[in-house]
Amino acid sequence: MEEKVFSVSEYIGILNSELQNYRAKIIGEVGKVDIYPSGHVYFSLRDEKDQSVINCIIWKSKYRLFGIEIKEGIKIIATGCPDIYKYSGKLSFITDTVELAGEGVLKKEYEKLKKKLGDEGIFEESKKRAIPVYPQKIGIITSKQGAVLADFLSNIGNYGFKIKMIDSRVEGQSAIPDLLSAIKTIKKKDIEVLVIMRGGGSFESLQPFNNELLVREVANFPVPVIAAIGHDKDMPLVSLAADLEVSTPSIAAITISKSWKEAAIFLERYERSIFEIFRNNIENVNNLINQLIGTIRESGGSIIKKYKDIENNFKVSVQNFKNTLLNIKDGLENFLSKTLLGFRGLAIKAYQQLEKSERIISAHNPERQLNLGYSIASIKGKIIKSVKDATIGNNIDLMIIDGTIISQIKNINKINKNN
Amino acid sequence: MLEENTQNLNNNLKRLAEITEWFDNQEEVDVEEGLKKVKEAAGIIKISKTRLKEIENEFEEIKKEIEIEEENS
Repeated sequence: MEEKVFSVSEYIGILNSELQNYRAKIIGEVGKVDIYPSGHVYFSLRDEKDQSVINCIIWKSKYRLFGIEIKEGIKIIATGCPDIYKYSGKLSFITDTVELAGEGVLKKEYEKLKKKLGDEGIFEESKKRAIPVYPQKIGIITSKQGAVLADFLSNIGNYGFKIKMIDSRVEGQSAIPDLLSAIKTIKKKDIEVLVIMRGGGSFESLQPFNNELLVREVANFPVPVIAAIGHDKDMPLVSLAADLEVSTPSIAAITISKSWKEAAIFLERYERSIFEIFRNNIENVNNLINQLIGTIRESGGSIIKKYKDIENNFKVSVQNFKNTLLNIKDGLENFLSKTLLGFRGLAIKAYQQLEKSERIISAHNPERQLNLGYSIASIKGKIIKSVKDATIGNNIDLMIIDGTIISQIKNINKINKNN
Repeated sequence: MLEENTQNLNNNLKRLAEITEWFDNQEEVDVEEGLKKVKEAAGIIKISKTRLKEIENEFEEIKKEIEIEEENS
């Protein structure tokens, strides 16, 4: 079989493909550094012992992630893959992650960044937002590897949470691009709280959580952030910037579901309170009604009694009035009878008077004399009482009991009474 | 619907707190009004308890949106 002949380009392509398998971490001292106007950084990494050199490139998009300034003389660990640039045939180590190396350097950088961000007020307590009550939409950034997610989910409880999770590497500098990408993605999602979790580790392993860009993303995240990143002595800056820092994923879960659990307790309390108060109220009202009924009954009794008293009084008054009327009647009758009696007396008296008068009149009645044989002589209607009243020749009318005799005077003889 | 329930749960608890306060502050109880409030509370409690019954969580894994890099050397 004839051996295949490759073009240069083809061959470099094959090499580059193979070189992808030689991904590695290289430690060395930074030599010459060139930052191109494009922002990509070209630098050399030198072996401290034998001065071996490898050319390195870190693209702008990666370089800006790590918060490390690549400058001559610093010791770094570069992570990446080798690659041959086909137009120059030059091999470069394409660095995608860079971290500081050397004892004390990390700590120094941590303190420096902590001070810088602290001065900006990023860690201020006053900036911390409260974790919402009854949150439902939860965002999670963590690694699917390990027990962290399981811990969280087994403690969150079933309250119908809508959990959106983004898997991300959480250890080593290579986690930084992952975490940044994750936080940018989840920022666009509809969530009420974000939980960033990992299972703790050494200061070195937690370095991604001291990344300036990540810290700023957390501090400016649109909804409250809970950091559940374990730590030893120095708290990761992401945890300091978060609205709430808890030590474990389980505590993060419990914190989120706390308000839901409390709601059940509140409900029970309100239920008991409202119904008990109302039941007491009803009892009180019932007692009040019974009291009122009693009072009304008592009042009613006294009213009836009063009415009866009034009625009796009225009856007495009526009787009195009746008696008065009777008295008046009696009085009137007495008066009448007295009057009648008086009248009767008067009548009798009058009658007696009449009788007496009659007797007197009767005694003096001339007719009575006539009956005895006397007569009454008159001349021309004038009774003759004296001889002087008579003249011889005059006609005398003699009235007797049963008629009149007319005679003529023939002689007059005067009687002398003194004889 | 779930969202409404959640929103309601928050409001419901506030409303129940108001009703409790109303009862606490009544020196002379208006039984008619009290009965109305008890009926309202009973409804709210029923709905809220239903909401607090275990409802399965929804879990969704989201893929990161990778930024396209300009890798021009």
